[in-house]
Amino acid sequence: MEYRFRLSKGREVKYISQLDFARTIERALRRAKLKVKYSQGYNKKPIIIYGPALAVGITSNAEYLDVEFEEILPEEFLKRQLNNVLPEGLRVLHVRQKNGLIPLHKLNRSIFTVELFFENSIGKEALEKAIEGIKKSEEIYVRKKTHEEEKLVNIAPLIHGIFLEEFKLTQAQIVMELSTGQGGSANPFMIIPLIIENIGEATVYIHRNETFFEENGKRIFPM
Amino acid sequence: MKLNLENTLDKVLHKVSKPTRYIGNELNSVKKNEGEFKVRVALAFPDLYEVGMSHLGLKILYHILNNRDDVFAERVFAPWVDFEEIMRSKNIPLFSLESKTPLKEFDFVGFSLQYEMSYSNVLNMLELSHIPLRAKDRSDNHPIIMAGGPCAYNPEPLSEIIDFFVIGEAEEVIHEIIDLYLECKVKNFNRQEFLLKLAQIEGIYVPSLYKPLYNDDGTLKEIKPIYDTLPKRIKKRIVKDLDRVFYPTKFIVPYMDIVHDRAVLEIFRGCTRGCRFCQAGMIYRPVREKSVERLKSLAKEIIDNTGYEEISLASLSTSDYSALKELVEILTDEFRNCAVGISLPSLRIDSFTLDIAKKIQEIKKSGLTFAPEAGTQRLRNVINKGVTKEDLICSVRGAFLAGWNNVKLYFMIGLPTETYEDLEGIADLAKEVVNEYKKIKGTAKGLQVTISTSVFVPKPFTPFQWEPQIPLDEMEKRQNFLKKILKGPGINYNWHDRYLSFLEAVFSRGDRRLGEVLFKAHEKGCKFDGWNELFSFNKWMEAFKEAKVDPEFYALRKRKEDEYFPWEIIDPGIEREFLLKERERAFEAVFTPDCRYNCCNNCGILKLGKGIKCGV
Repeated sequence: MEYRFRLSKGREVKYISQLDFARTIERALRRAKLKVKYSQGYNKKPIIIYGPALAVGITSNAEYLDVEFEEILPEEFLKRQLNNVLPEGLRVLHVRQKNGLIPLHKLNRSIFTVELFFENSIGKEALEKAIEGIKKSEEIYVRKKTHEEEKLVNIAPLIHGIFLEEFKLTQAQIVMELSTGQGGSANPFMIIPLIIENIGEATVYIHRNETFFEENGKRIFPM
Repeated sequence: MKLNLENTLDKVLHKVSKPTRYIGNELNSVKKNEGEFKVRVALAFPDLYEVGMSHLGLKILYHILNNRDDVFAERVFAPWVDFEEIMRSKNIPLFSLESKTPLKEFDFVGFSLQYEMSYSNVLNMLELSHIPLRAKDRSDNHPIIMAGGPCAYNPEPLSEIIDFFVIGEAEEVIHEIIDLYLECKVKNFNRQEFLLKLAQIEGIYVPSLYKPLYNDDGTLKEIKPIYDTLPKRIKKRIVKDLDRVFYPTKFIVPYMDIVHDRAVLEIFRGCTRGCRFCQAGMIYRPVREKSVERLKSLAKEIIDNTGYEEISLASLSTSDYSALKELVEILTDEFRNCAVGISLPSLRIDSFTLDIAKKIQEIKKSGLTFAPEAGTQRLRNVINKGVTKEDLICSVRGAFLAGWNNVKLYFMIGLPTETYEDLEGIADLAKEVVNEYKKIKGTAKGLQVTISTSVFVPKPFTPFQWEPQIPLDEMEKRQNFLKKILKGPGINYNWHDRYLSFLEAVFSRGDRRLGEVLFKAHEKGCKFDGWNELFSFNKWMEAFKEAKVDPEFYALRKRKEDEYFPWEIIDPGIEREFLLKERERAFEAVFTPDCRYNCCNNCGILKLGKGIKCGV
C-alpha cells in the first residue's frame, strides 16, 4: 500500500542535500520498524518516490514523498511512528493514502517566502523598484552548476510571481512563485542577489511554503 | 557569543562547500545545557568531518564522556579551506558542532592522531581557535590540550605542542583524567600542578616533564624525567575484558555521505599474525575478542538506534575472529527482513572466508580485496606475511566462480631486502590472476584487477624500526618499473604519492626537534597534507631547511642495534629483544607462526601485568 507524506524541514537540517534527505528518511523508516517494501536484487532499497528537490540552505513546509509498505496502515499511526524517530528539524505534517493523488513527478511550481535582514535600514521604494525590475525582465541569466560544468541559464521564464509582502526598515519579506521540478527550476538564491545588489548586505532566510502542479492557471495540490 | 556565532554562520555557510560539515544536529548527537555539566571536552579530529566521523575511537570516547552527567563532550573537525578563509576574514573562531562554542572556552581539547600527515592540521586548528600553539605559552585559562591514537606511540614530534598524551586504550583512563581535573578545579586550579599529578597516572605522558639528551652524532641519548618521582617509561593502558567494556550503540548518524557511512561493530582488538612491517599488530596486543552473544545484542541495538542499512565488523583481521561463521550467520538471519547488509573489511580471503563472503552477498555485493603485500614468496617470508601464491590463486578462483569480477591487490614497495625480481613478482601475480579468470570465463573481458602499491614506511615498535626507507629517486624508479610491466587487459595500476611516504617516514620515527619543522611548515601554510590538492612538498622542504633539520637523518638512516629511540619513552609491552629476534628472522626469510595457534614467541606483552591473558 502506498502512502504520501508531507514533511517539514527546519533550520537544523536546512543544509542537507536531497541525497542526505533520502538517506535520512530510509534510516528513519528502519528505526520506526515499519514494513517497507524493498526492491528486489542484491542492493535492496526501499521503494520511495520523492517530490521536487529542495536547494541546499532552504527550510520547507512542503517536502513530499511516497512510500510503499507491505501492509495497510492507519495514517495517524504512520505519522506518529515516523515522528518518534525522525531527527530534530524533520517532522511529518500529514499522511494520506496515495490513491488518486497527483504523481509527485508532475509537480512543477513552488512558493517561497524570503526573509531579508539588512545590516542598515533601507528604502522601501528602492526595494520595490528592484523587485519590479525582476518582474519586467525577459532575460535574467544566472550561472547554474551541474555536476561538472557551469552554464548560463535564463531564469526569467521560470519566475511566475514576485512581490513584497512586508517591510520594516531593516527587514523585508518577499514572496516568490517559481518553476520547480524536471521542466526547469529556479530558486530564490538565484534571484535575491539581483534584487539587493544595489541596496545593501543582508542575511537571507528562505522557506518553501508549498509545491504543486500548475497548468493554464489551474492548480492541483499534492495532498 | 553563541547566538552571534549562529547568526554569522547563517550569513556565510551557504557560500561554502558541504556546509553540513559544520552544522551538527545529527540524530543521536548529544546536547547539554550550560550549568548541567562541570567539564567541557572538545574531541578534535585533525581532518574533515567525513573522515573524522568515520573513526570508531572518536565515537567511543564521545559516548563514554557524555554518559557522565558532569561532562559535555563535543566534536570539532578541521574546516575545509573555503570555510577557513571565511573564518579568518570574519574572525570566526573554531567552534564545536554541538553548542557552537569557541574551542578556547573548553576545559580540554583532545586530538585524535591517526596519521602523521595530519599534524599540520593540529597546529592549524589550534591557531583557528586562538589557542597558543606552544604548550609553554598557555596559561591556566587556556584549555588543556591532550592527544591519543596510534601516532601517540611516538609522541616526541608533537611534544612541544600537546600538554599530555594518552597512551593506549582510553576507555578507563579517560575517567581518571576527568576525576583528577574535577578534584583540582575545586581547589585553586593550577595548570602545572594538574599536569604533574596527571603524570603519575599510568598511561599518561606529559612531555614538558621530560627532557631529551642527545649524543654528538645527533642521535638520542635518553629522555629523562625531570623529577625522580615520575615514571621512567610510560606503560600503555589496555582494557582487560572487551565484553564488559563500554561500547556505544547510539552512534551519531551523519546527514552527509562520510567515508565509512555504516554501523560499526568492533569484534576484537589486537592481532598476533606478526607481520613485521605492521605497527598495529604490535602495539594493540594482546588479542581480545567480544563474545558472539554480546555482539548479537550490540548489533541489534545499534541498528534499532541508527537505522543504518549496513553493519561492518571491525577489527585488524576479521577472518581471525574465532566464531566468524557463526556470527555472520546469526547477523544475516537477524537482519534479512529489514535489508541490513553486513560488510567484512580486512578479510583474509581463503576458501573458508569465501563461503562467508558468499553468504553475505545474499544481501549486498561488495568488492574483494587481497593484500599479498609482496610479489615473491621470499619477500613475503621476510615480512612474515603467511600467504602463498597458491592461497591467492585458489581464493581468486573461488571468487571468480562465485561471480566476482572485480578484485584489488595491495602491495608495498621498498620493503627491506626488496629487489627488482620481487617487483616482477607483483606483475607475475597479477597476470596469474588474469589467467585464472580466463581459464574460467574464456576471456579477460569484464575483469578488473586493480594493483595498488604504497611505499614502505618503517614504524616504531616493529622489527623494521631500525631500517632505512628507500630514497625518493629509488621510489620513483621502482614505481616507473611497475608502470611499465603492469599492463595488459584487465589490469589497472595505481600508486601512492612517494613524497608523502617520505614525510611519513620522517615523522613516524622523529624526535622532539621536529617540532620546529612543524611550526615552520604551519607558518608556510601547510595543512591537509593527506589531500593531493593541498600538499606541497616544497613548503615542507623549506621548513626543514629553516629549522635546520635534515629529514634524511630520520627517514633514510639505518640505525645501530643499540640506538636509543625517541619512542622508547613509551612501553607498549613489546620487548626490544623480541623485535630484534624478529628482525634477524626477517633477514633469514624465516616465517614466525601466529602465537595464537602455536607456541609463545615471547613478545613481552604478558609483562604488562594486571592479569592480561594472551590468545582468546
